[in-house]
Amino acid sequence: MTKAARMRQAFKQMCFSGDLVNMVVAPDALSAKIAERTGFKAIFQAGYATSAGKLAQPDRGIADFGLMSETAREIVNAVDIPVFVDADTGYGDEQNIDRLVHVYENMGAAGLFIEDQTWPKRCGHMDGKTVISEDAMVSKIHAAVNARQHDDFLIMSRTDAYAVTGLDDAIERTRQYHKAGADLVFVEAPKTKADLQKVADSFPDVPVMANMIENGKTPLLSNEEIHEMGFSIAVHPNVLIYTSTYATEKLLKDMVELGTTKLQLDHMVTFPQFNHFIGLDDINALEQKFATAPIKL
Amino acid sequence: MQLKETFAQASMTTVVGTMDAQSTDTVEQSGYPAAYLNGYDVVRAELGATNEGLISPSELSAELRHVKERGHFPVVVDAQSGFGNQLTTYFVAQDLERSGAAGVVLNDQIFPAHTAQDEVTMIEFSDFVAKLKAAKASFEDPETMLFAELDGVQFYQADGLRKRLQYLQENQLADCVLVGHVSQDQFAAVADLAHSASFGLVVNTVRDTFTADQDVASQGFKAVFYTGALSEARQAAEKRAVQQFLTKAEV
Repeated sequence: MTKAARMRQAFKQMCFSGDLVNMVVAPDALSAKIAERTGFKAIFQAGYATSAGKLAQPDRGIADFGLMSETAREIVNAVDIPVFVDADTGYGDEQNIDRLVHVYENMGAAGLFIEDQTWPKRCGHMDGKTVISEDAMVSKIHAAVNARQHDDFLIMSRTDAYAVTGLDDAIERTRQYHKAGADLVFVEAPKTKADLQKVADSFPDVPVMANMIENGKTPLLSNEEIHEMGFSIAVHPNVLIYTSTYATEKLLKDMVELGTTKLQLDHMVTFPQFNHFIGLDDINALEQKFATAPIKL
Repeated sequence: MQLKETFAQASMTTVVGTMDAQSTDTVEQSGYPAAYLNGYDVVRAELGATNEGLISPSELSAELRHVKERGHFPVVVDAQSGFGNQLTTYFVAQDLERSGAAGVVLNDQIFPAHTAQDEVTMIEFSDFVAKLKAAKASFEDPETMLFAELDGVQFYQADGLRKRLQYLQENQLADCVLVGHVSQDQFAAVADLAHSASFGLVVNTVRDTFTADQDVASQGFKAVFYTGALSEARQAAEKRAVQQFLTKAEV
């Protein structure tokens, strides 16, 4: 079985197992590898972190399909756990969605979500969002479902309608998206615990995702609380970007002021630890395996 | 000579559409003043498709950087409809210029832009003007040319085209205005307008049937950008080339 098939099957099994699928968004391959080593069973690749990590730009539609898919490919290749990807609005119309589903499926992603914002989109927890019509989004979901080559490549619908037309419309839209073929559903940026509960209660038979952004519009809950509410998937999209920004800034300030990293050594991994973690021993062994052996003709 | 000077001095400038470094090299060696790295030809070569809107701007700029590895030949790049709104247009134009574009073409289609005539829809003219301003503001080199491509003559007719041309030129919103997506029926009216207004024509030699019976170059257009010809020719040549390896039994 190919790695891609293993990842799709594993992710589908997780999503429908009844247990909570706990995902962190990885801005790059290194952070994905760290997440894998620390016990995460699946990785999310998403726009906020990719825009920040690759472009140093906010999540305002500046990261395009080329950048997003290249980042996803790097992450997929770096880990041996399923990678679920953020396909934003599909970056165009149904023809663009047809292309991107093929690209993501071929690279070995486990699935993707498509949202109903207008392009250029913005982070779901930013103000000023607008959405396309329900019919237009249903057409996009159809396009995604029709484009996939494997039924276990999961398609998630995301609606940003809560901020535009309210919770009831967001839930109704999501019902239509599920009918159109979305395997998983996601209502972005509910504002209260009651909203979250209403979302979860509205889809008792469909895996629903909750998005936990620190200081975002949605209350920050524990995985246990999310699962008890009825959600099947939790994603933590910004924590690695915020943490690395905090740590990097703190370290670099000290370097500028003190001219040395000696006082920060306790906050780093060591040279041998990192080399071991990043797989130097494995690479050396692989090279040795294919070392040239003398041949006598 | 800078590309802007070439356009200023010549009564008519011919620019040939390319898809990669090899085809751009062919155009340079043939003596043309510039190449036009455009969505249609790039999508044909890279994706095996014919809808220019399938390519993303970062993929296009990566192709441009390959093209520019080999020299300083001016390459005008097709930024389509800016791949979104004014904000995306700003960053796309900036990225293309920094990747080596001597000029950027921006059209007035809704994102995603399309090649097929019946898939084209237009943005409001005011939104197009805003995108042109954003693209111009992103440029760091005053020699970088901005081309405004009007693709909607089938919707706003020759009179609407004339008004748009006049507005763009009076307000100096672009260094050169181009007209694209001209149908067989509208070609005569557009060519007639070229006698009284200065603008160029974008031709897709695969799509635009008027190229079969019209001497486009002698109609008074300020410039003619030919797209489609090289990707079409490459595919035809490839088909001929691979045929020679087939045995008689396979044929």
